[in-house]
Amino acid sequence: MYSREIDGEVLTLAASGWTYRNTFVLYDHQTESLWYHIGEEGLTCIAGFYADRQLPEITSQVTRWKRWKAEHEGTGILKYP
Amino acid sequence: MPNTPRASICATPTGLATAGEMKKSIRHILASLWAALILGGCADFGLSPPGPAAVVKDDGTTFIVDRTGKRWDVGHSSQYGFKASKYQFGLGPNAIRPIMLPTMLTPGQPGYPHDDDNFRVMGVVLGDLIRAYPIGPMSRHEVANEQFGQAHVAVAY
Repeated sequence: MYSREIDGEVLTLAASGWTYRNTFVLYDHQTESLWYHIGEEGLTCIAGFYADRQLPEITSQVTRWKRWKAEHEGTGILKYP
Repeated sequence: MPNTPRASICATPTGLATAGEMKKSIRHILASLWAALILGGCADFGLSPPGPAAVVKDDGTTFIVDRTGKRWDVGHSSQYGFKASKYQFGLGPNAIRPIMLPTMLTPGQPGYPHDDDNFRVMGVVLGDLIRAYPIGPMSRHEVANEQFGQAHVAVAY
């Protein structure tokens, strides 16, 4: 998970439709800058208006619902669809 | 040009991942294949196989062209060691739509999972908010544009 705030603006992120090294390249709707997960820094803008800027990563955890629920009793869960 | 079977095209996207990226790569390529299924099956790649991106150099700028005809200026990414021809798929920016400001189910609401359900989730704790995102929907949408209190975040799988 990443912050999508930069310079006081809120970005809308989405898949660009491109992959690089089998990883999705994201883009933002506002400037169509391209964003890619590099190293431990979070998302780095590799091309476009925000070139070389970063959106920091926020800790998340991939696990099983059963375990997550046991450890986080009141958790919400995405309503889908 | 060799007549590559479509099933083979779908099953073997190329590209090398470094060890550090392997974990993300594995799950992201699965997501990529999901995207292919969403778009109506692998036959779509018969028109635009996931080979090297079409590269156009125009007035000193390097573009890659996706299957919708959209041009992306990727010249700057060479500073990160990216080669324009190594971008793949080029499905277009509307092929995989993000989830926008998703709704959460809370305990006790209809549809809230049983405690012993065992599907995979991405779990996040931010401030006093605790949320889980099932991997299935996240694989289909790749990004959820979310807000935790005042913090705007992108849940990305």
